[in-house]
Amino acid sequence: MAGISFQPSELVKLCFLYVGASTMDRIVTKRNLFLFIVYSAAICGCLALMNDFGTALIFFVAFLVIAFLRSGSFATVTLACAATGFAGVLAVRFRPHILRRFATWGHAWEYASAGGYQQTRAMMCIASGGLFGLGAGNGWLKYVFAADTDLVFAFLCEEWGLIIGLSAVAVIVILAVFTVRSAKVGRSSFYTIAACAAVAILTIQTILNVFGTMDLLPLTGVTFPFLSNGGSSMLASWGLIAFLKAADTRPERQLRGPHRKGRGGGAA
Amino acid sequence: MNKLAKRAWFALALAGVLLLGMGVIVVRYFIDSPDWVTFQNSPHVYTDGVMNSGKIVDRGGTVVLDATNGKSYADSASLRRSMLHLLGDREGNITPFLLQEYGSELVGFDRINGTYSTGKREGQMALTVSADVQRTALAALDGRKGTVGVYNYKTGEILCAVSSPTYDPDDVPDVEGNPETYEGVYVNRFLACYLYAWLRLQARHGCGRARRDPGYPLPHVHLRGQRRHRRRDHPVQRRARHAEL
Repeated sequence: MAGISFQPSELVKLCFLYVGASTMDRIVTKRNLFLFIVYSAAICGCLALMNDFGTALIFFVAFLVIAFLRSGSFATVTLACAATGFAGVLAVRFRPHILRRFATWGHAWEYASAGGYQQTRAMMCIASGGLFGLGAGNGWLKYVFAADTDLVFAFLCEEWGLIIGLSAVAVIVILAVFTVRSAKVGRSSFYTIAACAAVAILTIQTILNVFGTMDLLPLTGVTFPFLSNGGSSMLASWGLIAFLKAADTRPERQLRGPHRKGRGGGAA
Repeated sequence: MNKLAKRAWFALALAGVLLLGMGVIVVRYFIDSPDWVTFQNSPHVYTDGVMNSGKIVDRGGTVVLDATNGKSYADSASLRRSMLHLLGDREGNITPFLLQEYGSELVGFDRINGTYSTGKREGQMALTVSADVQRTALAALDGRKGTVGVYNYKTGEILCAVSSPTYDPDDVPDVEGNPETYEGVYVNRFLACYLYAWLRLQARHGCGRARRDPGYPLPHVHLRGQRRHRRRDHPVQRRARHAEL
Protein backbone atom coordinates (compact mmCIF):
# COMPACT_ATOMS: atom_id res chain seq x y z
CA MET A 1 0.00 0.00 0.00
CA ALA A 2 1.12 3.53 -0.63
CA GLY A 3 3.16 4.79 2.30
CA ILE A 4 2.77 1.57 4.27
CA SER A 5 4.95 -1.49 3.99
CA PHE A 6 4.64 -4.77 5.80
CA GLN A 7 7.21 -7.48 6.41
CA PRO A 8 5.33 -10.79 6.80
CA SER A 9 8.41 -12.72 7.93
CA GLU A 10 8.51 -10.69 11.13
CA LEU A 11 5.10 -11.87 12.25
CA VAL A 12 5.80 -15.39 11.03
CA LYS A 13 8.43 -15.52 13.79
CA LEU A 14 5.65 -15.40 16.38
CA CYS A 15 3.63 -18.06 14.57
CA PHE A 16 6.73 -20.20 14.27
CA LEU A 17 7.35 -20.05 18.01
CA TYR A 18 3.74 -20.83 18.78
CA VAL A 19 3.64 -23.80 16.42
CA GLY A 20 7.09 -25.03 17.42
CA ALA A 21 6.55 -24.83 21.16
CA SER A 22 3.06 -26.34 21.08
CA THR A 23 4.13 -29.15 18.77
CA MET A 24 7.03 -30.01 21.00
CA ASP A 25 5.01 -29.82 24.18
CA ARG A 26 3.50 -32.90 25.83
CA ILE A 27 1.55 -33.77 22.73
CA VAL A 28 4.72 -34.61 20.83
CA THR A 29 4.23 -37.45 18.40
CA LYS A 30 6.03 -38.48 15.27
CA ARG A 31 3.28 -36.91 13.21
CA ASN A 32 3.56 -33.58 15.00
CA LEU A 33 7.33 -33.62 14.72
CA PHE A 34 7.13 -34.33 11.01
CA LEU A 35 4.65 -31.51 10.50
CA PHE A 36 6.87 -29.08 12.39
CA ILE A 37 9.91 -30.01 10.30
CA VAL A 38 7.87 -29.55 7.13
CA TYR A 39 6.60 -26.19 8.42
CA SER A 40 10.16 -25.05 9.22
CA ALA A 41 11.48 -26.21 5.88
CA ALA A 42 8.66 -24.40 4.07
CA ILE A 43 9.45 -21.13 5.86
CA CYS A 44 13.20 -21.39 5.19
CA GLY A 45 12.49 -22.37 1.57
CA CYS A 46 10.27 -19.30 1.05
CA LEU A 47 12.93 -17.06 2.61
CA ALA A 48 15.61 -18.62 0.40
CA LEU A 49 13.46 -17.88 -2.65
CA MET A 50 13.19 -14.29 -1.40
CA ASN A 51 17.00 -14.19 -0.98
CA ASP A 52 16.48 -13.40 2.71
CA PHE A 53 19.05 -15.81 4.08
CA GLY A 54 19.61 -13.73 7.23
CA THR A 55 16.02 -14.29 8.35
CA ALA A 56 16.25 -17.95 7.31
CA LEU A 57 19.20 -18.27 9.70
CA ILE A 58 17.11 -16.77 12.50
CA PHE A 59 14.40 -19.37 11.98
CA PHE A 60 17.00 -22.10 11.87
CA VAL A 61 18.46 -21.06 15.21
CA ALA A 62 14.98 -20.97 16.73
CA PHE A 63 14.36 -24.44 15.34
CA LEU A 64 17.60 -25.70 16.90
CA VAL A 65 16.72 -24.27 20.30
CA ILE A 66 13.24 -25.79 20.22
CA ALA A 67 14.58 -29.16 19.07
CA PHE A 68 17.27 -29.24 21.74
CA LEU A 69 14.98 -28.20 24.56
CA ARG A 70 12.62 -31.00 23.75
CA SER A 71 15.12 -33.73 22.91
CA GLY A 72 18.18 -32.73 24.93
CA SER A 73 20.25 -34.40 22.27
CA PHE A 74 23.32 -32.69 20.90
CA ALA A 75 23.37 -35.36 18.18
CA THR A 76 20.04 -34.05 16.87
CA VAL A 77 21.39 -30.51 16.83
CA THR A 78 24.59 -31.61 15.09
CA LEU A 79 22.63 -33.52 12.50
CA ALA A 80 20.42 -30.49 11.83
CA CYS A 81 23.50 -28.26 11.50
CA ALA A 82 25.11 -30.70 9.08
CA ALA A 83 21.96 -30.82 6.97
CA THR A 84 21.77 -27.04 6.95
CA GLY A 85 25.44 -26.79 6.02
CA PHE A 86 24.70 -29.00 3.04
CA ALA A 87 21.74 -26.80 2.12
CA GLY A 88 24.03 -23.77 2.47
CA VAL A 89 26.47 -25.25 -0.02
CA LEU A 90 23.61 -25.80 -2.44
CA ALA A 91 22.39 -22.23 -1.87
CA VAL A 92 25.83 -20.84 -2.67
CA ARG A 93 25.93 -23.03 -5.77
CA PHE A 94 22.64 -21.68 -7.10
CA ARG A 95 22.88 -18.13 -5.70
CA PRO A 96 26.40 -16.91 -6.42
CA HIS A 97 25.68 -13.44 -5.03
CA ILE A 98 25.85 -14.94 -1.52
CA LEU A 99 29.44 -15.91 -2.21
CA ARG A 100 30.25 -12.32 -3.16
CA ARG A 101 29.10 -11.22 0.30
CA PHE A 102 31.45 -13.73 1.84
CA ALA A 103 34.27 -12.41 -0.35
CA THR A 104 33.87 -8.98 1.22
CA TRP A 105 33.47 -10.38 4.73
CA GLY A 106 36.46 -9.52 6.90
CA HIS A 107 37.92 -7.31 4.16
CA ALA A 108 35.52 -4.38 4.26
CA TRP A 109 38.32 -1.80 4.16
CA GLU A 110 39.74 -3.34 1.00
CA TYR A 111 36.35 -2.99 -0.70
CA ALA A 112 35.46 0.35 0.87
CA SER A 113 33.79 1.64 -2.30
CA ALA A 114 32.05 -1.60 -3.22
CA GLY A 115 30.89 -4.45 -0.99
CA GLY A 116 32.30 -2.91 2.17
CA TYR A 117 30.73 0.52 1.64
CA GLN A 118 28.21 0.33 4.48
CA GLN A 119 30.49 -1.39 6.99
CA THR A 120 33.39 1.04 6.49
CA ARG A 121 31.13 4.06 6.88
CA ALA A 122 29.59 2.47 9.95
CA MET A 123 32.97 1.91 11.62
CA MET A 124 34.14 5.38 10.66
CA CYS A 125 31.04 6.89 12.29
CA ILE A 126 31.38 4.76 15.42
CA ALA A 127 34.95 6.05 15.84
CA SER A 128 33.80 9.63 15.25
CA GLY A 129 31.18 9.28 17.97
CA GLY A 130 33.64 8.13 20.61
CA LEU A 131 32.27 6.82 23.89
CA PHE A 132 29.71 9.60 24.35
CA GLY A 133 28.54 10.39 20.82
CA LEU A 134 28.24 13.50 18.70
CA GLY A 135 24.75 14.31 19.90
CA ALA A 136 21.28 13.55 18.58
CA GLY A 137 20.90 14.56 14.95
CA ASN A 138 24.58 15.40 14.55
CA GLY A 139 25.51 12.13 12.89
CA TRP A 140 26.33 11.58 9.26
CA LEU A 141 25.53 7.89 8.90
CA LYS A 142 21.86 8.72 8.36
CA TYR A 143 22.76 9.53 4.74
CA VAL A 144 23.94 5.97 4.15
CA PHE A 145 21.42 3.42 2.88
CA ALA A 146 19.75 1.33 5.63
CA ALA A 147 21.38 3.37 8.41
CA ASP A 148 18.25 3.18 10.56
CA THR A 149 17.73 -0.55 10.05
CA ASP A 150 20.71 -2.72 9.14
CA LEU A 151 23.32 -0.26 10.47
CA VAL A 152 21.34 1.02 13.41
CA PHE A 153 24.01 -0.04 15.92
CA ALA A 154 26.51 2.29 14.26
CA PHE A 155 23.83 4.99 13.94
CA LEU A 156 23.23 4.76 17.70
CA CYS A 157 26.95 4.76 18.54
CA GLU A 158 27.69 7.77 16.34
CA GLU A 159 25.03 9.99 17.86
CA TRP A 160 24.80 8.59 21.40
CA GLY A 161 28.17 6.97 21.88
CA LEU A 162 29.63 3.51 22.13
CA ILE A 163 28.57 3.16 25.76
CA ILE A 164 24.89 3.50 24.85
CA GLY A 165 25.42 1.09 21.94
CA LEU A 166 26.95 -1.48 24.27
CA SER A 167 24.13 -0.92 26.75
CA ALA A 168 21.56 -1.69 24.06
CA VAL A 169 23.30 -4.99 23.42
CA ALA A 170 23.55 -5.64 27.16
CA VAL A 171 19.76 -5.38 27.41
CA ILE A 172 19.42 -8.37 25.08
CA VAL A 173 21.95 -10.35 27.12
CA ILE A 174 20.06 -9.52 30.32
CA LEU A 175 16.83 -10.71 28.72
CA ALA A 176 18.54 -14.00 27.90
CA VAL A 177 19.73 -14.42 31.50
CA PHE A 178 16.26 -13.51 32.78
CA THR A 179 14.67 -16.16 30.56
CA VAL A 180 17.05 -18.92 31.54
CA ARG A 181 16.65 -18.12 35.23
CA SER A 182 12.86 -18.17 34.96
CA ALA A 183 12.87 -21.51 33.11
CA LYS A 184 12.75 -23.39 36.44
CA VAL A 185 9.42 -21.91 37.36
CA GLY A 186 7.82 -21.90 33.94
CA ARG A 187 4.07 -22.42 33.85
CA SER A 188 4.51 -25.37 31.52
CA SER A 189 7.09 -26.69 29.08
CA PHE A 190 5.22 -24.89 26.29
CA TYR A 191 5.94 -21.51 27.85
CA THR A 192 9.54 -22.36 28.68
CA ILE A 193 10.33 -23.65 25.20
CA ALA A 194 8.64 -20.65 23.59
CA ALA A 195 10.48 -18.19 25.85
CA CYS A 196 13.89 -19.76 25.18
CA ALA A 197 13.26 -19.81 21.44
CA ALA A 198 12.07 -16.20 21.58
CA VAL A 199 15.18 -15.03 23.38
CA ALA A 200 17.30 -17.03 20.95
CA ILE A 201 15.65 -15.12 18.11
CA LEU A 202 16.31 -11.79 19.80
CA THR A 203 19.93 -12.73 20.43
CA ILE A 204 20.70 -14.08 16.97
CA GLN A 205 19.11 -10.99 15.42
CA THR A 206 21.36 -8.78 17.54
CA ILE A 207 24.41 -10.88 16.66
CA LEU A 208 23.72 -10.70 12.93
CA ASN A 209 22.96 -6.98 13.04
CA VAL A 210 25.88 -5.81 15.19
CA PHE A 211 28.51 -8.24 13.93
CA GLY A 212 27.44 -7.59 10.33
CA THR A 213 27.83 -3.85 10.88
CA MET A 214 31.31 -4.34 12.36
CA ASP A 215 32.37 -6.80 9.64
CA LEU A 216 32.71 -9.68 12.08
CA LEU A 217 30.03 -11.46 10.04
CA PRO A 218 28.66 -10.83 6.54
CA LEU A 219 26.08 -8.04 6.47
CA THR A 220 22.75 -9.83 6.21
CA GLY A 221 20.23 -7.02 6.56
CA VAL A 222 18.68 -8.20 9.81
CA THR A 223 17.05 -5.74 12.20
CA PHE A 224 18.18 -4.96 15.75
CA PRO A 225 15.22 -5.71 18.09
CA PHE A 226 13.45 -2.57 19.33
CA LEU A 227 16.00 -0.23 17.70
CA SER A 228 15.70 -0.68 13.97
CA ASN A 229 13.14 1.38 12.13
CA GLY A 230 10.10 -0.60 10.99
CA GLY A 231 6.68 -1.28 12.47
CA SER A 232 6.62 -5.00 11.63
CA SER A 233 9.94 -5.53 13.35
CA MET A 234 8.78 -3.59 16.38
CA LEU A 235 5.54 -5.57 16.62
CA ALA A 236 7.43 -8.84 16.35
CA SER A 237 9.90 -7.77 19.03
CA TRP A 238 7.13 -6.93 21.46
CA GLY A 239 5.48 -10.23 20.61
CA LEU A 240 8.68 -12.07 21.47
CA ILE A 241 8.91 -10.20 24.77
CA ALA A 242 5.36 -11.35 25.53
CA PHE A 243 6.57 -14.95 25.29
CA LEU A 244 9.37 -14.18 27.77
CA LYS A 245 7.05 -12.55 30.26
CA ALA A 246 4.40 -15.25 29.93
CA ALA A 247 6.90 -17.91 30.93
CA ASP A 248 7.79 -16.18 34.17
CA THR A 249 5.38 -17.09 36.95
CA ARG A 250 7.42 -15.80 39.86
CA PRO A 251 5.70 -13.34 42.16
CA GLU A 252 7.40 -10.00 42.59
CA ARG A 253 8.91 -10.83 45.99
CA GLN A 254 10.70 -13.85 44.51
CA LEU A 255 12.39 -11.71 41.92
CA ARG A 256 13.99 -9.70 44.71
CA GLY A 257 15.96 -12.74 45.83
CA PRO A 258 15.72 -15.42 48.54
CA HIS A 259 13.94 -14.68 51.82
CA ARG A 260 15.95 -14.32 54.97
CA LYS A 261 14.55 -16.44 57.76
CA GLY A 262 14.06 -14.87 61.12
CA ARG A 263 13.85 -11.37 59.77
CA GLY A 264 10.82 -9.32 60.84
CA GLY A 265 9.82 -11.53 63.77
CA GLY A 266 7.53 -14.09 62.10
CA ALA A 267 4.07 -13.87 60.55
CA ALA A 268 2.11 -10.70 60.88
CA MET B 1 10.78 -29.00 34.36
CA ASN B 2 14.20 -29.32 35.95
CA LYS B 3 15.46 -31.12 32.88
CA LEU B 4 14.07 -28.35 30.73
CA ALA B 5 15.64 -25.71 32.96
CA LYS B 6 19.05 -27.30 32.48
CA ARG B 7 18.62 -27.41 28.73
CA ALA B 8 17.64 -23.74 28.73
CA TRP B 9 21.34 -22.92 29.13
CA PHE B 10 21.63 -23.78 25.46
CA ALA B 11 19.82 -20.52 24.72
CA LEU B 12 22.30 -18.69 26.92
CA ALA B 13 25.20 -19.93 24.79
CA LEU B 14 24.09 -17.50 22.09
CA ALA B 15 24.24 -14.67 24.60
CA GLY B 16 27.79 -15.80 25.39
CA VAL B 17 28.69 -15.55 21.71
CA LEU B 18 27.19 -12.07 21.65
CA LEU B 19 29.23 -11.00 24.69
CA LEU B 20 32.40 -12.45 23.22
CA GLY B 21 31.84 -10.60 19.97
CA MET B 22 31.17 -7.35 21.79
CA GLY B 23 34.49 -7.80 23.59
CA VAL B 24 36.20 -8.14 20.23
CA ILE B 25 34.43 -5.01 18.98
CA VAL B 26 35.53 -2.97 22.00
CA VAL B 27 39.14 -4.12 21.61
CA ARG B 28 39.07 -3.31 17.91
CA TYR B 29 37.60 0.09 18.68
CA PHE B 30 40.42 0.99 21.04
CA ILE B 31 43.09 -0.31 18.66
CA ASP B 32 41.79 0.70 15.23
CA SER B 33 39.54 3.73 15.78
CA PRO B 34 42.29 6.28 14.90
CA ASP B 35 42.52 4.61 11.49
CA TRP B 36 38.75 4.40 11.09
CA VAL B 37 38.22 8.06 11.88
CA THR B 38 40.70 9.32 9.28
CA PHE B 39 39.13 7.25 6.52
CA GLN B 40 39.35 9.34 3.38
CA ASN B 41 35.59 9.75 2.97
CA SER B 42 34.84 10.83 6.53
CA PRO B 43 32.75 14.02 6.56
CA HIS B 44 33.72 14.53 10.20
CA VAL B 45 37.35 14.97 9.23
CA TYR B 46 37.45 16.04 5.59
CA THR B 47 35.76 18.84 3.70
CA ASP B 48 35.85 18.41 -0.07
CA GLY B 49 38.52 15.76 0.35
CA VAL B 50 40.76 18.00 2.46
CA MET B 51 41.38 17.46 6.17
CA ASN B 52 39.52 20.25 7.89
CA SER B 53 41.34 20.82 11.14
CA GLY B 54 44.77 20.83 12.74
CA LYS B 55 48.14 22.47 12.23
CA ILE B 56 51.58 21.09 11.55
CA VAL B 57 54.64 23.09 12.60
CA ASP B 58 58.34 22.37 12.24
CA ARG B 59 60.68 21.95 15.20
CA GLY B 60 61.10 25.70 15.41
CA GLY B 61 57.37 26.49 15.37
CA THR B 62 57.06 27.55 11.72
CA VAL B 63 53.64 26.58 10.36
CA VAL B 64 54.09 24.25 7.39
CA LEU B 65 50.42 23.26 7.05
CA ASP B 66 47.24 24.75 8.45
CA ALA B 67 44.22 22.57 7.76
CA THR B 68 41.85 24.46 10.03
CA ASN B 69 39.89 26.06 7.19
CA GLY B 70 40.92 24.14 4.13
CA LYS B 71 44.48 23.21 3.32
CA SER B 72 46.92 26.14 3.64
CA TYR B 73 50.60 25.53 3.10
CA ALA B 74 53.48 27.68 4.35
CA ASP B 75 53.90 31.23 3.06
CA SER B 76 57.33 30.54 1.62
CA ALA B 77 57.37 28.92 -1.84
CA SER B 78 60.72 27.23 -1.21
CA LEU B 79 59.40 25.71 2.01
CA ARG B 80 56.26 24.50 0.25
CA ARG B 81 58.43 22.80 -2.36
CA SER B 82 60.71 21.19 0.21
CA MET B 83 57.78 19.83 2.25
CA LEU B 84 55.67 18.62 -0.67
CA HIS B 85 56.43 14.91 -0.26
CA LEU B 86 55.64 14.97 3.44
CA LEU B 87 52.43 16.99 3.24
CA GLY B 88 51.07 15.94 -0.15
CA ASP B 89 49.47 18.12 -2.80
CA ARG B 90 45.92 19.35 -3.25
CA GLU B 91 45.11 17.06 -6.16
CA GLY B 92 45.97 13.84 -4.37
CA ASN B 93 48.81 12.94 -6.74
CA ILE B 94 51.25 12.75 -3.84
CA THR B 95 50.23 10.83 -0.76
CA PRO B 96 50.13 13.11 2.30
CA PHE B 97 52.30 10.83 4.39
CA LEU B 98 52.14 12.92 7.55
CA LEU B 99 48.38 13.34 7.38
CA GLN B 100 47.92 9.63 6.93
CA GLU B 101 50.25 8.75 9.79
CA TYR B 102 49.16 11.35 12.30
CA GLY B 103 45.78 12.46 10.92
CA SER B 104 43.76 11.29 13.90
CA GLU B 105 45.82 13.51 16.22
CA LEU B 106 45.59 16.46 13.89
CA VAL B 107 41.82 16.45 13.95
CA GLY B 108 41.83 16.28 17.74
CA PHE B 109 40.51 12.72 17.84
CA ASP B 110 40.65 10.74 21.01
CA ARG B 111 39.04 7.45 21.89
CA ILE B 112 36.87 8.91 24.64
CA ASN B 113 35.32 11.88 22.84
CA GLY B 114 35.72 10.80 19.21
CA THR B 115 35.70 13.84 16.96
CA TYR B 116 33.30 15.74 19.18
CA SER B 117 34.76 19.18 19.42
CA THR B 118 33.78 22.59 20.68
CA GLY B 119 36.03 24.19 18.09
CA LYS B 120 38.91 24.48 20.49
CA ARG B 121 40.48 21.10 20.29
CA GLU B 122 42.15 21.07 16.90
CA GLY B 123 45.41 19.30 17.25
CA GLN B 124 48.74 20.94 16.57
CA MET B 125 51.61 18.69 15.79
CA ALA B 126 55.26 19.68 16.01
CA LEU B 127 57.58 17.87 13.63
CA THR B 128 61.17 16.97 14.26
CA VAL B 129 62.18 18.30 10.83
CA SER B 130 63.54 21.78 10.46
CA ALA B 131 62.08 24.07 7.81
CA ASP B 132 65.44 25.80 7.33
CA VAL B 133 67.31 22.54 6.83
CA GLN B 134 64.64 21.35 4.41
CA ARG B 135 65.07 24.49 2.31
CA THR B 136 68.85 24.34 2.46
CA ALA B 137 68.90 20.69 1.41
CA LEU B 138 66.57 21.32 -1.50
CA ALA B 139 68.73 24.22 -2.62
CA ALA B 140 71.80 21.98 -2.40
CA LEU B 141 70.16 19.37 -4.61
CA ASP B 142 69.92 22.14 -7.19
CA GLY B 143 67.40 20.42 -9.43
CA ARG B 144 69.08 17.02 -9.31
CA LYS B 145 66.87 13.98 -8.78
CA GLY B 146 67.44 12.39 -5.40
CA THR B 147 66.84 12.73 -1.71
CA VAL B 148 68.48 14.14 1.38
CA GLY B 149 67.79 12.53 4.72
CA VAL B 150 69.28 13.64 8.03
CA TYR B 151 68.44 12.03 11.34
CA ASN B 152 69.72 11.83 14.87
CA TYR B 153 70.96 8.27 15.09
CA LYS B 154 70.62 8.27 18.88
CA THR B 155 66.99 9.30 19.07
CA GLY B 156 65.71 8.46 15.60
CA GLU B 157 64.46 12.02 15.06
CA ILE B 158 64.41 13.03 11.41
CA LEU B 159 65.82 16.49 10.84
CA CYS B 160 65.48 16.57 7.07
CA ALA B 161 63.60 14.46 4.51
CA VAL B 162 63.64 16.15 1.13
CA SER B 163 62.79 14.52 -2.18
CA SER B 164 63.55 15.97 -5.59
CA PRO B 165 62.19 16.76 -8.15
CA THR B 166 59.40 18.63 -6.49
CA TYR B 167 57.06 21.55 -7.15
CA ASP B 168 55.06 24.22 -5.38
CA PRO B 169 51.59 22.84 -4.49
CA ASP B 170 50.17 26.37 -4.66
CA ASP B 171 51.62 26.91 -8.14
CA VAL B 172 51.41 23.55 -9.87
CA PRO B 173 53.56 23.40 -13.02
CA ASP B 174 52.84 21.47 -16.22
CA VAL B 175 54.18 18.13 -15.05
CA GLU B 176 52.90 16.20 -18.07
CA GLY B 177 54.42 18.73 -20.46
CA ASN B 178 57.90 18.46 -18.88
CA PRO B 179 58.46 14.74 -18.40
CA GLU B 180 62.24 15.02 -18.09
CA THR B 181 62.22 17.75 -15.47
CA TYR B 182 59.52 16.14 -13.37
CA GLU B 183 60.40 12.49 -13.87
CA GLY B 184 59.23 10.59 -10.77
CA VAL B 185 57.96 13.76 -9.11
CA TYR B 186 55.11 11.90 -7.46
CA VAL B 187 57.51 9.48 -5.76
CA ASN B 188 58.73 10.20 -2.24
CA ARG B 189 62.36 9.21 -2.80
CA PHE B 190 63.20 9.48 0.87
CA LEU B 191 60.62 6.85 1.77
CA ALA B 192 61.52 4.77 -1.25
CA CYS B 193 65.20 4.72 -0.23
CA TYR B 194 64.32 3.85 3.34
CA LEU B 195 62.02 1.04 2.29
CA TYR B 196 64.57 -0.26 -0.20
CA ALA B 197 67.24 -0.41 2.50
CA TRP B 198 64.77 -2.06 4.84
CA LEU B 199 63.88 -4.75 2.35
CA ARG B 200 67.55 -5.37 1.56
CA LEU B 201 68.25 -5.90 5.24
CA GLN B 202 65.31 -8.22 5.64
CA ALA B 203 66.34 -10.23 2.60
CA ARG B 204 69.89 -10.52 3.89
CA HIS B 205 69.19 -11.30 7.53
CA GLY B 206 65.76 -12.84 7.54
CA CYS B 207 62.34 -11.26 7.85
CA GLY B 208 61.86 -9.30 11.08
CA ARG B 209 65.40 -9.69 12.39
CA ALA B 210 66.58 -6.25 11.34
CA ARG B 211 63.79 -4.70 13.38
CA ARG B 212 64.78 -6.49 16.57
CA ASP B 213 68.54 -6.27 16.40
CA PRO B 214 69.78 -2.78 17.32
CA GLY B 215 73.16 -3.62 15.78
CA TYR B 216 71.81 -3.22 12.27
CA PRO B 217 72.32 0.20 10.78
CA LEU B 218 68.66 0.87 9.83
CA PRO B 219 67.16 2.86 12.70
CA HIS B 220 63.67 3.51 13.93
CA VAL B 221 62.99 7.00 12.78
CA HIS B 222 60.12 9.35 13.42
CA LEU B 223 58.90 12.72 12.33
CA ARG B 224 56.63 13.68 15.15
CA GLY B 225 57.58 15.84 18.07
CA GLN B 226 55.25 16.70 20.91
CA ARG B 227 51.56 17.11 20.35
CA ARG B 228 49.89 20.26 21.60
CA HIS B 229 46.33 21.42 21.99
CA ARG B 230 45.56 25.04 21.44
CA ARG B 231 43.34 25.53 24.44
CA ARG B 232 45.98 24.38 26.88
CA ASP B 233 48.57 26.75 28.19
CA HIS B 234 51.26 24.15 28.37
CA PRO B 235 52.15 21.50 25.85
CA VAL B 236 50.79 18.14 26.76
CA GLN B 237 53.59 15.79 27.53
CA ARG B 238 52.91 12.61 25.71
CA ARG B 239 54.82 9.45 25.38
CA ALA B 240 56.69 9.58 22.10
CA ARG B 241 55.63 6.72 19.91
CA HIS B 242 58.02 5.87 17.15
CA ALA B 243 56.36 5.70 13.80
CA GLU B 244 57.99 3.18 11.57
CA LEU B 245 58.38 4.51 8.09
